[in-house]
Amino acid sequence: MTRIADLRIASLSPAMTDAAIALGLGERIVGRTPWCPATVAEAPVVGTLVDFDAERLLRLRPTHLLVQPPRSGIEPGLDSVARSLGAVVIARHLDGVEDVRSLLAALPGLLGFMAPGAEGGATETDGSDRARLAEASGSVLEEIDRSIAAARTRVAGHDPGRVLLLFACDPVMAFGSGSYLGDLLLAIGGTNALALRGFPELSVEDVQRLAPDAIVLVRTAGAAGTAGAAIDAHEETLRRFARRLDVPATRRGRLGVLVHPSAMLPGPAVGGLAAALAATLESLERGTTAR
Amino acid sequence: MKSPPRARADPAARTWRRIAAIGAALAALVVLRLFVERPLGGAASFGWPEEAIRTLRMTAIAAALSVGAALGVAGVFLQGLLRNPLAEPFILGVSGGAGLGVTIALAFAWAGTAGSSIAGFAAPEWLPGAELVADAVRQLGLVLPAAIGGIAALVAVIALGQRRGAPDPLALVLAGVVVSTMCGAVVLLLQHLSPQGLRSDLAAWMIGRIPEAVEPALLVVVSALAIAGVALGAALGRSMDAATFGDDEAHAVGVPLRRLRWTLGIASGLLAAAAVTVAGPIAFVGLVAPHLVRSLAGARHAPLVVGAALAGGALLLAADILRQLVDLGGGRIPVGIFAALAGGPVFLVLLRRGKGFG
Repeated sequence: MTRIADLRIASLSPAMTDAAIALGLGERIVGRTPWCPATVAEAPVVGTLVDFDAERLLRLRPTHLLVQPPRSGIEPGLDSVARSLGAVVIARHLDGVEDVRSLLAALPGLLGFMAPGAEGGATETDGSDRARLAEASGSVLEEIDRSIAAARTRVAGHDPGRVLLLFACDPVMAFGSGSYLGDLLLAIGGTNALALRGFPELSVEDVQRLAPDAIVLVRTAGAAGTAGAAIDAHEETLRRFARRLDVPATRRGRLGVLVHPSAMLPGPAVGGLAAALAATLESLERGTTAR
Repeated sequence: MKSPPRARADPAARTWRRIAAIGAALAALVVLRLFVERPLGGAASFGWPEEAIRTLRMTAIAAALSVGAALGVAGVFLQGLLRNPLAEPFILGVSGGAGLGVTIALAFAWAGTAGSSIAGFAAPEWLPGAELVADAVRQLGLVLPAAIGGIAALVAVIALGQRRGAPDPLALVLAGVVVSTMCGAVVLLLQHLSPQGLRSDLAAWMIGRIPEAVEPALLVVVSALAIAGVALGAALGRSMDAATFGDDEAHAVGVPLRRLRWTLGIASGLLAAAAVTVAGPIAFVGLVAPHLVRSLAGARHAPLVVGAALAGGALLLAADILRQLVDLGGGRIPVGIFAALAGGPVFLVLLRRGKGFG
């Protein structure tokens, strides 16, 4: 019988660790990456997808391995470690908002807690644990949907125009379509000024040609990083960069900074990130940064 | 009736004509960089740019010319100083030192402003003064840490690379390799400990780029250093020519070898540090430019240093033009990649032709 108490989860993906924590499985995490949230700090570090500690993984005897694999698939070495442990590898691509929703909805089943009658639901599971996980998953998804809907309403009231989302100013690196932030911008009703996919490097001249109506510099940070001083620092960086531009965003002073601990982490914090992005876009109207 | 013998072409005049040809090629590249454009996802075109874009392009051209010239001149000095055709400016550890300076500054800045952690240790406990450094980086960018790191590495290499009170070619190369390797190891350690956002900042700097927006004062300093380097090379040309034949020959014609080596070592280090401060570590330009000029215009140092300055600027400008024109669908490709991709084959061609090694 599969029970939550029997789970031993090793996560090689901070985003998937976040998802497990959101479902109330933080205590079941026995191995983590160096960049996982502080709530699982007691679990030993087992490395990352490209640099994992096989010996430590074997000692920890996880029942499940959480990974965000590259398009080329999981490294054979990790696959062989998982096989020798008899551990289930849960591999998910987390590129956009829908990927996050899909992971949160599927995670209970992937951990072996299938709903009765579901495909592969022959595994015997503890009914109360299954119900608990299903409820946690439903509640997190509901919260995400509510936050994104609220963010949409907020953005609709202050159309920010074509927004350029940057994550670095020198060199200029941007969130294109299909990136997590690009996707989130679309989900809350915004328009990405950049049609290119992924995380392209741009020249300053490219930014001049794109002529965005607003530019938002998105940075990731720890809890203290959202403090005023950190935002001031990034605002200064953005201002220095924008000095060379003559585009609608600079003419109207629509330059914003979004500092969020999960800015680059496609996970259950997507609802909070949507709210923060909407607040930043709204603040551009007022010419102040949301804090 | 026998026709009168043709006057033999003056070799010096021929050399300078070829240097002038390199200058003409450089001018053509300047025009190309100013007028040619290819928007991402669009087609290439040629036209007079609007003012805002013109300003960006002029800055990029000025940066490419000054950095390329500095690297070219530094390459000539080092190849002369070390009597090693494979010497290039970063052999003195300048690139490694600048990289380490930038890495440390970014790590401090990250911890000081992002409130994030390096290896799980949050600032300021682990990094006293992190906020101060973060503030300095915010105000001054990465120029200062790159310059400090580059010059510190240079000082260490020159201090370690002496024998009997003067820079020794072999000891300098070995000291440069050791200092570069150690700086590289610390950079790798810090990168390993860094979270994703910081890691990508570090990786972006390490590739090398031609800035379209840079503090004018910095460009003035690098340009002035490059011009001073050319003047110094022209003034020391005869001494450098004599020194290439060996210590005894140089002494025999009265070349103050120790002073020459000190001058070339310090000058090449400063030029490389200035270049890396503006553009990050850009490979091959300092190696290829002198060889290219030697193969065209001979090995005499006075014209060589002028030609290498022009060729260095031309190579870097060509790489920057390729960055504007080549669109593989994933955004702009960093100039440092083009410089290495183009510089490698050019160097191999020169090597195969057996020319350019004076």
